[in-house]
Amino acid sequence: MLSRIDDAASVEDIAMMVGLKLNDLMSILDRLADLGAVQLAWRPVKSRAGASAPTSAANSNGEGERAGLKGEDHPAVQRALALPPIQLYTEGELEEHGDLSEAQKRRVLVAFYGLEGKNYYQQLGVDQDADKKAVRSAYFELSRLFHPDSMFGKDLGTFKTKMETVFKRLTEAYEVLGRSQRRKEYDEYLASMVTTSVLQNRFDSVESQVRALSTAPPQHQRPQTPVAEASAKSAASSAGTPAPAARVVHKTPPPQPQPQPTAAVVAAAPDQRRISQVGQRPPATLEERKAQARERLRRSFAGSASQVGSSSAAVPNRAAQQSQPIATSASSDRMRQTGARQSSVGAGGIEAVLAHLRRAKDAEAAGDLLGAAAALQAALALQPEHKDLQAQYERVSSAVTRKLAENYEKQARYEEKQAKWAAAATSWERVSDGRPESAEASRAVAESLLKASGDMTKAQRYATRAVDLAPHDPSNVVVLARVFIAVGLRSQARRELEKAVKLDPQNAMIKDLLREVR
Amino acid sequence: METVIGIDLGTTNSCVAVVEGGQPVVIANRGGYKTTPSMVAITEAGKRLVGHIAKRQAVTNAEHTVFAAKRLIGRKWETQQVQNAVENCPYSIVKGPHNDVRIQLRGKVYSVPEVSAMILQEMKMIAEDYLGSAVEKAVVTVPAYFNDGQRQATKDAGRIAGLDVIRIINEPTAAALAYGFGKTVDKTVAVYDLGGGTFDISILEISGTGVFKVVSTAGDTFLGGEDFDLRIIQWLVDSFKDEHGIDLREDRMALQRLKDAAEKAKCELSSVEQTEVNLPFIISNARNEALHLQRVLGRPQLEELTRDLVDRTIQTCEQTLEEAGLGKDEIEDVILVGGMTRMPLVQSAVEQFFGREPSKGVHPDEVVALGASIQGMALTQEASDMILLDVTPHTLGIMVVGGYFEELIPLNTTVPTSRSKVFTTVRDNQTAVKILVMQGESHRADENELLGEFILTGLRKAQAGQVEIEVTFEINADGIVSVHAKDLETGQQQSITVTATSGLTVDEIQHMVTEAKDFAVARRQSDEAEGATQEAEKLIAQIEQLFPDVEQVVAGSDFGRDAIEKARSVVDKARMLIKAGRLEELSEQIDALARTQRMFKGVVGKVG
Repeated sequence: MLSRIDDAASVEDIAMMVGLKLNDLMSILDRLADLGAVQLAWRPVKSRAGASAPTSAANSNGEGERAGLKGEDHPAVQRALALPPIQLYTEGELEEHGDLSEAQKRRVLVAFYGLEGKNYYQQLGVDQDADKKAVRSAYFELSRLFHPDSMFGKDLGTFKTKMETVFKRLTEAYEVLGRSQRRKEYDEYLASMVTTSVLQNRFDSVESQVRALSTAPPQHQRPQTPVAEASAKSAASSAGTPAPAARVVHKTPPPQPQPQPTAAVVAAAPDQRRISQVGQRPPATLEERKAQARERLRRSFAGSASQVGSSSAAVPNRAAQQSQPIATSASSDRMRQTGARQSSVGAGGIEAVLAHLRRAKDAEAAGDLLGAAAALQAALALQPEHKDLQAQYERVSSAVTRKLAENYEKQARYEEKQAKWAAAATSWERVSDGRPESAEASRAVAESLLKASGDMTKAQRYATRAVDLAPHDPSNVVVLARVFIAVGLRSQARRELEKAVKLDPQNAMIKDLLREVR
Repeated sequence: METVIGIDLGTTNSCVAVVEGGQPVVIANRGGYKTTPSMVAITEAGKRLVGHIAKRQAVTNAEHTVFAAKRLIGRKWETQQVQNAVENCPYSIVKGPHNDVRIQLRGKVYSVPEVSAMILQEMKMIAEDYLGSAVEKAVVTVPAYFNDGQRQATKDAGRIAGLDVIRIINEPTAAALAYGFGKTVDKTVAVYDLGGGTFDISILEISGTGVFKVVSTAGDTFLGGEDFDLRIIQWLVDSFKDEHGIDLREDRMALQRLKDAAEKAKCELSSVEQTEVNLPFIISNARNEALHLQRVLGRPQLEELTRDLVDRTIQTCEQTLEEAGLGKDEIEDVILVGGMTRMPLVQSAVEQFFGREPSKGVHPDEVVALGASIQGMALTQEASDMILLDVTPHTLGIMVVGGYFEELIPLNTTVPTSRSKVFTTVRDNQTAVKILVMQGESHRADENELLGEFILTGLRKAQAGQVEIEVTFEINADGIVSVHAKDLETGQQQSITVTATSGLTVDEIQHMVTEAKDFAVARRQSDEAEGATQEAEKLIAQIEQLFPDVEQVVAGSDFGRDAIEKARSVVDKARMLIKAGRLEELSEQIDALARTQRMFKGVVGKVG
């Protein structure tokens, strides 16, 4: 992507060429601008849009409050409502009837569409280290603009529900960031989401390379096919493993010269904070994208599918593809090069394998499972037929999968606590895929979907699986029954509940439910 | 620009305020009092009395004088609290057609909102007299812990009284508004509101820029000054029974006298250590002998009788702090609201719990009305940048399969707020879906308060599970619940019928509004009549007094005798008009009387 920034291409063009979603591209660019790597035309260097230079962004910490700045003058408000470079609302929406000034209407629309994909800090326009008073001050001043009472007695038309939604979101953000315990948990959650995504992406990358090895044609047949195969494999594998939703597309210093299915893009350190998303379909037109964004928003504001406001905007089940749609001539050259090197696994090769093995052992001892996996993958690349190496790799790979499942479980439990059922369902799905033998995880997916009024077909699938895995646990049977009730299959619900009663005759809830379906 | 008045509709006393010249002021009634008793009576002659005048005749007209109607408003008949009231109140409480509560006075049955409307109407007239113009808009306060039914009923009462209640606001929040108004306060405060019938504790964050945010609120809508009175009454009744074997509560008049005496004693004991309850001729015994009641009540005794009530309030304070996620040390000020907070036991309990002396800057009886008027101004004046972020005090949810309660909007959620949920059909060709909406904290639906049965009708005929209806539950800034439904497939609004609430129907309200309007007009006329009559009579008296002296002075001349003749006829005519009730003409005659009086005075003066 960096190569695309040539002072001529617009952001839309770049997004299309690189295959990124516009919002994500903007986030990356923002971050790059922060680091000073790029200069953005709509963002004056070193200061934020709209704020006066000295008392800008970093000073939402108490400065605004001391100055008694109200409403639109408050720095946090300016940050939160900073205009995005592309307008997500249509002109038609702006012209809709409502007893507000055009500036006010615009403000409502910007805030309403800008909510998606923002975490709580961004929604309130404060830094992650802002103190309580600064957070409160930001919330209060934003409330001033979006609380319905500020427009009391006016006929707001369609802007009314939009304003109320914005206010609701802001309040939600404040109720987490304004309480030290909740904020701590949220910060841990955010951090965990980032590290887990990084872990997942890197692991997927390693995994796909290993899988590619087992089916790769003999070495002399180098050219494009491994890429195609690899991409097919990774697509298959990532379709199989449910969507690590976010990918860090990063430049790993490659441990060995191996054709990377992913062409490298962007950023400095492996623990980059910003997460981007690689879309798989050819990017839609601007209008389509906006319509999609609005549709997602509509669904999420129906209450069931509300996100916890993370920057990665967890998107369920979008199998992400590792490979770039475009293979440039540069990369195929590289591949031909490595292919040439590949064919000479000779004496130097054995030493290299041993070196990798040692590295793997050290990494594992140090607790760096991913490093161990990567090293083993490198070894396997040199000796793909080696049974023992394969076994070792499988072992480490399972360990990584389990660790990931642990992380996803933590996320799921946090999301449950916040009553974010749709997000929890997605996280539990990932847990379940990492722990296919766990009835508890399967059941949790079904339960979360029930609470979120989500996809009942999926709920039925997972509930059934839970029962298959642990048929003697009455809670699994009950969940399946509840799913049946939700979709109207009462007789099947009754059958399940009768089974449940036999398993747990003392349980009052089962008896109650049974009475209802009889 | 329209004036909005703020009304504190209290259990025992009500108060009205308005913002004048940027300052909120309490409006005194005609008797010069800043608060008006929340009492309504119907005399034997069928006349309606409200306020002080109702209170004064409460003893002799106990069966037809209503007090503490607020304890009944918006409640269902079979609740514990209502049944308690039926037992303890001298006036007749009966069951209404919607399982609601009605009051019977002189053979006529009134709904509770109707009775409260009479009080609101009185407060409205007090304001109009002061302002010299009609008042249409008001902000009315309710206890923070009032549920949806109680709020709805209060709003109905406003409508019946001819008021457009633009906002229902919580009493502790109103108090905080008055506390913070005009000052650059930047604090986390606790408002401890112990009034006549209810207790509320609210924690608020106030910013120097005029934002007031409620963090959490809790309370008890059946714990207040009246309960403290009841303890004293109980004690008096018990000791009398021990002595004379008679239960004084059987006699309504005795009960009313006891009530008055108990309230008086309780208030006195806030400033003295000991007081005497003296009720001679309280009742006659079987032998028709007159019995008297005379007891001495000391402060320690009173505290013992009521300590558990105060403890209950402190427990609720703990609960709400916990919900707010705050420690006691994070509360920077404590505001006391309500007459009961004058009691030393209450003050010391509060001080002990919060570890600081409560703020003395607010008047516990007036602060709520002042706050209400401030909110009225803030809403209707564009220039105002004050904003109030309040919360809903009870969790809103629905009943689900198995009789369980599914939470939709948790308590202490900032309002306005909403939550949507998708419902579907469970049978083929099902054309209606019933949703039971309730408020409460129990996980069992039957332990919570049913707000209503919402029936979505006219659904498309389809296979089970094919029809998806998105139901949105909304709590507005008044804290009142509303439900909307939309067919997700067609996008059409779904029609909803609401049943099983204890609220008044639209027709009932309309009928009551008309009646109330008639009363207002009649009352106004009689007020005016009274005023005119009084003035005329005063002038006549003055003239009569001066007559002999004037006669002496002017009798000598023709002109003088003429004048006296004219004067006499003016007075006679005035007398006749008063008797005939011809008020319009009387007003004109008053001018003539005034001229005569001035003239007489002049004559006498010159001689003097």
